[in-house]
Amino acid sequence: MKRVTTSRIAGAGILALILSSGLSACGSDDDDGAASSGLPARVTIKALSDLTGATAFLGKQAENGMRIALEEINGQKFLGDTRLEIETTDLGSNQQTSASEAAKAAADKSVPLVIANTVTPIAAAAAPIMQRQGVPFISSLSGVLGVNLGEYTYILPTPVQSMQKLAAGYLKSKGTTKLGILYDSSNATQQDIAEKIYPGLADEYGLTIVETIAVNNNTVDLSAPINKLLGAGADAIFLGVAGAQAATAVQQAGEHGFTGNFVATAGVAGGVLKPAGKYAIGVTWSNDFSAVSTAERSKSFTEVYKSKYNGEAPIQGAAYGYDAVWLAARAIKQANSVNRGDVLKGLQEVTSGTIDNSPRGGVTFKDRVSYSTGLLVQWDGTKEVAVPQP
Amino acid sequence: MDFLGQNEILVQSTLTNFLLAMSLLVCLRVGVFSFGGLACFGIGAYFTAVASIHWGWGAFSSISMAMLISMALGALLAPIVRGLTGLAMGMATIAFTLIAGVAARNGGELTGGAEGLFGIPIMVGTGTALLIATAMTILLALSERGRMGRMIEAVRVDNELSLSTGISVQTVRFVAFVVSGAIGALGGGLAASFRSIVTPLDLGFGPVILALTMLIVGGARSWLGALIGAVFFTWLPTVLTSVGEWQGVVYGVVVAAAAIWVPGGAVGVATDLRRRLAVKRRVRNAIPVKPKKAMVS
Amino acid sequence: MHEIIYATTLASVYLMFALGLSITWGTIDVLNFAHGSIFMFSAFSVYLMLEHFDTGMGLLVMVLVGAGVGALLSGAVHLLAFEPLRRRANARDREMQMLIVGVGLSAVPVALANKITGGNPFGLRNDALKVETLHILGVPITSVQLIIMVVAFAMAVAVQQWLRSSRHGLALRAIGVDDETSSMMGVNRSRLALVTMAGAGVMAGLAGVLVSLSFGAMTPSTGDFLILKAFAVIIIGGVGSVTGVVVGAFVLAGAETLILTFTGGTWVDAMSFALIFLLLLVRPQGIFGRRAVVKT
Repeated sequence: MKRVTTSRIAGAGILALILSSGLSACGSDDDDGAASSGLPARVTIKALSDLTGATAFLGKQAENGMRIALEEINGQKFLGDTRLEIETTDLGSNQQTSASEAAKAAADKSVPLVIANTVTPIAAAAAPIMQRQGVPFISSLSGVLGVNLGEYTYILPTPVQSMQKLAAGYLKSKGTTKLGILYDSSNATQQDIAEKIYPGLADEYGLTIVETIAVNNNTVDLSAPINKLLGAGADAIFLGVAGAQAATAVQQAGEHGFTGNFVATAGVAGGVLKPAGKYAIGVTWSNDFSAVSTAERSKSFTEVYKSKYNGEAPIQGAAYGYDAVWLAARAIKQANSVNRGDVLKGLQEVTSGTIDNSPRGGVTFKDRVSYSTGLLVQWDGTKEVAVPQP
Repeated sequence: MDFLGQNEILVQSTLTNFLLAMSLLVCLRVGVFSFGGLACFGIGAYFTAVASIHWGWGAFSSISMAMLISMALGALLAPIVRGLTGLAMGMATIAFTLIAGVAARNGGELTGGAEGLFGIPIMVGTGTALLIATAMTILLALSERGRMGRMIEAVRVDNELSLSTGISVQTVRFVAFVVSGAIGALGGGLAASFRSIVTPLDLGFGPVILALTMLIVGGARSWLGALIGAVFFTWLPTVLTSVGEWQGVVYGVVVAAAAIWVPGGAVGVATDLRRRLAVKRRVRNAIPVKPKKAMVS
Repeated sequence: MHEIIYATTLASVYLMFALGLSITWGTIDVLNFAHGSIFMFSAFSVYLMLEHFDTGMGLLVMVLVGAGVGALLSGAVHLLAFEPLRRRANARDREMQMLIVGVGLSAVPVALANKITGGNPFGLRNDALKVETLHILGVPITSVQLIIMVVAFAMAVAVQQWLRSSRHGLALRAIGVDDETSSMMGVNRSRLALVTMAGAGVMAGLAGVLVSLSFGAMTPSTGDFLILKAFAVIIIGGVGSVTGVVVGAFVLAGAETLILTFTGGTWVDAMSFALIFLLLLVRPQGIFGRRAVVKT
């Protein structure tokens, strides 16, 4: 049922875990692990990840990122003699499974902390349970308001507001003034960017929003909306759609003779634009992390990831997964306990300063939400390239 | 690690899914293929959310008001769609549900847009919900018996015949729409309080398929079918997490196989078996003159 | 003016997708909700071949492969699911059961494709394929879109003629009217049903390849998105009527395009569903339907 992320767990290991957690709960000091440090020999945190289903791509990346962090933590004995372990349950991109697995994790008092590697509607089903039951909770892929419910929740993606400033700055540097917005109104994040964030940024970046068009995630043909944007005189388009719709929009705009700039969200990362071929050249988006980043820390993480996963390039999900586990480990070390209340205090303490080993560069927390500077990434027709900051 | 603590969410979902299935069942058993109950489930959930978050209403007032509104909606909808039958009725009521979904997505601050509403207080305990669901079940079970049961069965099987025996088909259907709305809104209100979140997905095509699957596999004739369907399809995804990578495939195959091999739903199969046994017994005990073939059909 | 052209291109996509679905429903009484995932998986198979052999493929080869895969899948679904179902279910509940069977089965190809792509979009455009853009009344139309228009209408006309004039067509219509009597008159129902389902699969495969070429990309769930639209198209036009599918496709595509042009787009779905709702109230059997959708 569960996939244990370290390879060495077998029946004996589980037995040891039960024994050790039982012993530490009794406060006995003949625990063979690190009794003096307050931590049992093994600490198991719980991960709820989308390993199958429509959003498995991100969930798997996060899972892989977690495994890299886990190896580092146990390899360098970050928690002393205590071994950190992660027990992953596949949510299958299903809301109800998310809620019920979250409840199971919450009921299991030996779980000090839960990480969710899943996107908005699915994470939003787990979040209220974590908050209500007082379980420290790290959301690695979703940061909307419905997930960020209170003191127990820590959010890893940098807020889209801050990310879109980069994109708007890019448009300004290109001298564009007339922005057309195409977005998927069934996606909360895209709706927020299209209806609130860009109207708010427009003045500061010298943009006029000439047209905003909503489509649904089941709209297959985007030529009429594209025509409307171009008819309104847009010289740049914000692409608030993901997946196939992003590729279709870019291609159809190209076929309509559009030569202006496209900005998008991280939803187009990871080869989404490949099917659009030459039309997608130059589409630019801001992201927390990219394998093509020139920053030293990003490069070293990318190398490790590629060598471990058959040359596959990491996307932002991998970086979030990595950060989630390190954050958990730091909090547990700080707390020197697996008690949830102590771990929460640990989280509060370790997030007061800058975290510097993240693949995303320096990460700071404000109101339990992490911020990194981010970078601009561009599609060159076959691969992603980094764009120098304007 | 107690069972209920770990599985409370599943128990709660089972209850609300059961109420959803029952609300569709009320219409289906009078031969009306209406998804109005589903629309009322979503509307009930949204109303409860809006009333408790924006206006500070309590559980009883918000859920009972949601039920009243849904009953009114059912009463309005029933005469409008009275001329529709079969899948045309299905499509029309699905259309109605999806329109409500689009409205929820475009409701701005009131409905929370695409993200929906979150932070709905927990107002109802699992035990209370269990009691409410049991009461509903008893009411529904009673209506399946005696005069009322025969009347409902007659309307489902043959409109003209029921008319000729003095049953007002339109009245029966009207009542079914209203009751279906009430049960749907009740389920939705409870679901909103349990999950503490409602999203436009609750008024989408996903719940349409889930509700239909529960009834087809459980059985679309009686409350027991709705219960079996609700239990089965609420717990199946969790059970399937053990299948790992192929859970999507297994889910699909299980659904398809159940629909093919369990005609009339689990309850239907059980009834068939019982009837067949009864017929055998009767044939065995009867004086062997001429076995009535009509009884078997 | 522009809107007419956009509506026409969109209508031909809906038409192409819905035609096979409507024919099997109207004649052999199979409402195949797995049609959408057959559509997707046909295109996906072509994509896998492109990736695997790492070579370009011309339009004709792609279309043939797609149609072949579609026929195979559709035939298999029929033999494995709809035939056994027909033998078991009574006529009254059959339509709903078929709906669920189709929905269940469609999860299988979607899960397979999701596993391979991780939910990422895939596209079929390659170097061996030249896609040109023409301008009609100032509206850019790609050669693929033109082909879709021509093929969709040719398909509609051919199916109509076949149903009207061929012996198979006659037998098929006979099944549509009265299953039992026609088999007593010597119609081999199961063979004819299989052929019809395979034919619908060919149409799904063809549509899958052409549509994904036209829009550049598809995800594993694209077929699921389209099936609801196709269902609406058929209900609007009337089950089993080829003219009905054509008209239904135009009504839906026209409404969507117009509403999108004159509003911000957020209410497009609501308004097209409202249109369907109203149409059904006025004419429950659909514009060209001869019988009620379901016999009560």
